[in-house]
Amino acid sequence: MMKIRSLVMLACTVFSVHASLAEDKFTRSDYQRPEAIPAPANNPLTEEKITLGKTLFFDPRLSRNKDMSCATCHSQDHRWSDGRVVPLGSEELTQPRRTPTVMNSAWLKALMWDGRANSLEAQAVLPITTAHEMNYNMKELVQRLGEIKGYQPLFDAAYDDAEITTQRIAMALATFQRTLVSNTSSFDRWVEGDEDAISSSAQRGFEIFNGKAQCAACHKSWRFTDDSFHDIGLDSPDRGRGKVIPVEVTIMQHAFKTPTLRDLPEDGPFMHDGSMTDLEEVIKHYEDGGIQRESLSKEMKPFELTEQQRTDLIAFLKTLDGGSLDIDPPVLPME
Amino acid sequence: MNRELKRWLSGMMLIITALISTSGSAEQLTESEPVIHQMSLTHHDFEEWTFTPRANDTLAITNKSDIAHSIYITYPDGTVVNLDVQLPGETFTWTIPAAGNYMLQCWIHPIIREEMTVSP
Repeated sequence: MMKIRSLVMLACTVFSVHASLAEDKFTRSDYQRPEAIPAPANNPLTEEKITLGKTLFFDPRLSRNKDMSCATCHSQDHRWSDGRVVPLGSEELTQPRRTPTVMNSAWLKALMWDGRANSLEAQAVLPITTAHEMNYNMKELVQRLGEIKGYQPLFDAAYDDAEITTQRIAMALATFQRTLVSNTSSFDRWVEGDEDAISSSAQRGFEIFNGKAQCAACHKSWRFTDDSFHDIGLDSPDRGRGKVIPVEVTIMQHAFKTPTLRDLPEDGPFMHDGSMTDLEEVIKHYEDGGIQRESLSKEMKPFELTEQQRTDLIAFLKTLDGGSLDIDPPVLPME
Repeated sequence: MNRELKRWLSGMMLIITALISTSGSAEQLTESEPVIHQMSLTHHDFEEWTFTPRANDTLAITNKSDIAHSIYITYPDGTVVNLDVQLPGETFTWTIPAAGNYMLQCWIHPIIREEMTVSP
């Protein structure tokens, strides 16, 4: 009886898997923008905390030498990144990684290229304390901010008392970053039903994106990333996520977080190491399938596009640009 | 096969599977023998399960998505067990060693994260 039952169950499983895989297709609605910005229950969005976080984000006094703020590398002039192949201060590193955008980070499930931070609050202190970035430490920063009189009312408004702590600094920075959300793009208008919002070339590109090129295997959801980690076969010695998780997990060697495709800069740089400067080069890399090695992502399957299909795919990617997200910089508190 | 018919057949198969799984659970209560529980993995989730896992039971997890996963399990004592890579359509198994709370996660997709409470 047990044997028969096992056989029937196996048959059912195989059939339903087959049906499920066959129907695994994407539609416009899979890319619908969310209605609200998520925030953790222990750090809800408030106007006061956003104001404090914005002030801290733009304040160079968060760095040891008072010459670098978060906004130095996450600049609104560069889609909240820096437009550089090698980030400021990383010139001497053997394996520098490009500065990722902080836009839409409210939805991130893993942060940093190697996923070593699992929340915006945890991530917020990392650049401040990293030697080649802001090169400071939280203890001295708390003391320094405490000596700036103008910060007291900001902390008081955000937390109902003026005490300054590492946790409160991180929570405010995270809160401000959660408010940096991509502007509505022409693609969003098309998703909402405006048939003329994107060109027919871009619409064909959308089909290629979800079909032949299988970009949507990883670049999915309205952010065009599922925050997954993959070795995409770049010629780089950087072990990426492989450095921060057990070495026996081969599939994570040379793996990096899938970046968003929204608001891409016109001329890159692209990839975690900034090694590519135009989208055609990026697409051709995926067509080739990358370096064949044990850790190569199972989603890296070579394919071939025509010139026209490449043009269509790029036309589609450009519809994901909602334009510059501009905000008024804060007035920094006086000493 | 048209889409509607395929959906109907899929539904029927799931019902049959559920009925068989239920009978398996009942059998376990009377015979106390380990049971094989069927589970599914989609793009970014373990599909909800209704069975109550017990020590020595086996999970047969099928990757129903069209992408690869790399599931690992954190044991109650913090030990991490890697289950390698699961390609689309593959079914992989893991036998629960003891009662307690286990965390099922994916190295590739951090969004996949489910806690499983196992009875003695």
